Amino acid sequence: MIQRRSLLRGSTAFAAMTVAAPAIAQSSKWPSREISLINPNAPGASTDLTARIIAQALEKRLNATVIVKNVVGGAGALGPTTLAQSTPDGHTIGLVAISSHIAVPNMMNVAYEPWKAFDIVGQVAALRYGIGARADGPLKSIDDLIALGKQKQVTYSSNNVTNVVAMFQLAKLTGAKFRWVVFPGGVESVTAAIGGHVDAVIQTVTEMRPQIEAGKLRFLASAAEARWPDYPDVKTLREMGYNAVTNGPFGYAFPVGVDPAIKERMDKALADVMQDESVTSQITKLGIQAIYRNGKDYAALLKSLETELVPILKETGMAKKPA
Amino acid sequence: MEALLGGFAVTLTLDNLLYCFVGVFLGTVVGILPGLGPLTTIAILLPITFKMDVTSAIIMLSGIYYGVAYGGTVTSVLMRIPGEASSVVTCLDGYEMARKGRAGAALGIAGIGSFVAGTVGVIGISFLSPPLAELVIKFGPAEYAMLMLAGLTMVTYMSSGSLARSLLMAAFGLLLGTVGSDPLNMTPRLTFGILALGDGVNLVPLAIGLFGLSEVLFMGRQKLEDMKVLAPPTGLLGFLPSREEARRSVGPVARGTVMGFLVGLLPGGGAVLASFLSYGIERKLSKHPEEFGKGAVEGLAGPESANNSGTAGAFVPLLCMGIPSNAVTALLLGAFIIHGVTPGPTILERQPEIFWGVVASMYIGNVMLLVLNLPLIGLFVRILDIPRAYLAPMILAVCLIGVYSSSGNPADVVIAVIFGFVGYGLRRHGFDLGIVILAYVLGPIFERSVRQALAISDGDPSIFFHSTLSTGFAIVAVVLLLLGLWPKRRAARA
Repeated sequence: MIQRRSLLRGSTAFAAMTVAAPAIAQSSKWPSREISLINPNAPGASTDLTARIIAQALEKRLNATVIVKNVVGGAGALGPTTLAQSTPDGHTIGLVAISSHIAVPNMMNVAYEPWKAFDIVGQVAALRYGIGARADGPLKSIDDLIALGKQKQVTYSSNNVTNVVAMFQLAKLTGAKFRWVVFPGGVESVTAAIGGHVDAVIQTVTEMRPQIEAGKLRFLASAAEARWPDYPDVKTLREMGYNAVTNGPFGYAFPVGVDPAIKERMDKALADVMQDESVTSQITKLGIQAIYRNGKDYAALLKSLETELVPILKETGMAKKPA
Repeated sequence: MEALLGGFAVTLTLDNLLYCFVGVFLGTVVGILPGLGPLTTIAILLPITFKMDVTSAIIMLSGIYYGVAYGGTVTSVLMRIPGEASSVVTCLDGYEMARKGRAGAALGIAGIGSFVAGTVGVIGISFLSPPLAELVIKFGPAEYAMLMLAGLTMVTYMSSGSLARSLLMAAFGLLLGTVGSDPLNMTPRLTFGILALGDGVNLVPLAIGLFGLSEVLFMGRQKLEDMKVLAPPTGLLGFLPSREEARRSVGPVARGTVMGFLVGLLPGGGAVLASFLSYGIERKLSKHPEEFGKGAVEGLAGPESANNSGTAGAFVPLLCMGIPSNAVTALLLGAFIIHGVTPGPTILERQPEIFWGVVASMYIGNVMLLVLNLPLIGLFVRILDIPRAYLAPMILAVCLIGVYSSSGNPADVVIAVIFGFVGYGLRRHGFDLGIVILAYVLGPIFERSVRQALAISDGDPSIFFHSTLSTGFAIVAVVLLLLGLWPKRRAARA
């Protein structure tokens, strides 16, 4: 491991030396070694499983080894920081999402400028969210949830600030009182709801489906932009007349300053991967929507979500104190 | 029963037996190498399984997971390096046994205890899964808070010295546990602006530093002429537990097995808590409590069994509820899902062949592990033939590489070295390091649960006594605390 590390350092030094060489020479040699794909989440997370599927598909198209590196730590900051600080020679790519661009930079001081530090390659997927409640409990619909929230404080579980946007919007729209109880993981959140420890839960399909299938969790509404394909009868919050939605896009980026020719080849490779039916079906199996956006569109999407999330971070006391 | 036989039919194909063997073999190897944990190994192997048959893939990946619980013992006993959090306790008495020349016996007892516990655990999965899984969802924040409180009272059982010293170490462990992100606000806390501390002090560098590296420093203090061999086992019989040791192990193995399985069912720190609880209980029940920490067989046999049956126990909520109890089972859950299998209450109806295939493979895997591990004991204990002057730098290297490969984060190596010195200093002054780990592991779960519970009840503390379970644990906590303090006070008076 240590040996490999120093080898890497040697080759980045080499890359820095050749930076002055014409861009064309660099891009024609790319990829000259393995490509690392940085994922800020632990092995087993849905982003990690997706990354491993994408990495395998990219390998064939780029003719290079693509390694998923889980750079976990710093409460989610370590991954994007490492990505931003790596040499932009096209051999490091990493996950960018709401966490890297909005949540983390607003919660703590980070050593990168979220909107300037990355060359975004594209979006590959979107997590699909839904709201559920214990099947043998009193809540049978979103209207029940709202009505109860007007009488007393309703608790719901979720593990991440990006998940809860729809619940905050719903509370604002209806005046109901919802309290978010933070759980360390998505499955723990769902378990707390089916155990009756909280009134409701907002999580992704991946985490909710097993309990819905088992008849332990009642699926009240899709909190995504569209209905879940597996449950076409359950409406979205918007269809019910509440303009509330949780978005969970994720995609990949280079550190800023990558040779445009290299970026173009990566853009093409990723776009091609996302056309591959075997890739999209594997991602869909995870309960995630396989959806491709190019770098520019994906950056615009992320930017548009910033205005939704920042007020929530402030309201929950999660936002960092102004320096 | 018929279903289980069907499961054996699935497993007893040449392919699946091979995958099972590959899994448990890799698990053993990974368990022996500290730091390189099951998480990394399974993550690396996951894409390879994409093209494999679902059942074979799960059989192999599960094999790695429970195989690790076997291998983890070796470095704990021989080098005082805990491979996993759940083998920290093994370092306490296992290593002391090795220093007395009973390394072979220690590994033998651990291996047999692991086998018994692993097998009983699988029997538990086979016959009790659905009702036990229902029990797991009864655990909400209030129940966890009280259970962790009961777990923390083990501090009074772990200590050999004065209570004040134990409490000091517990406070130190709790403080270490608060570093990182606030469990509810997720804002940085006590990180001093250091990015590497954003998720807190990781367990692997902490445990390896406190136990492994501090031992290297101790070795460095000895005069060169004293640095002889670490008491090598004598003769063939040295590898086997003596009749006395075997007799004293029976009770701890039985108790550790049952308790480990029950505690292992619970998500979050199950196997770790189980090993500490077992240690505390054995110490309390033992007729020779003064031997604990100095090579008591009971202090090895109980926890080693508990962490293995705890590993098996973790499969119950995983398979029957789709609830992972730790990072590794979370990854296994991902592996299931990627293969189109949804673990949960429906698995028994819809894909019984997978459920029973995996369960059957665990019976076979445990036998394989025993056959694989017992003959190797003779080889492993040869490590102790190495003069300490050479062994010390070897342990140092293994520790540092292990820490680095656990996270790939160089900062963790620095943290491990710092805790190596801290551990050395504390041990020189006779403090119990096991308590630090106990408090460090349980403290954050306790804090989070208490705050979650209070968020749910809007600040009303009566939530901790809302259910029979949480009230029960609260009572257990009080009783354990009083029992723990009582004889000490009597001894002090006498």
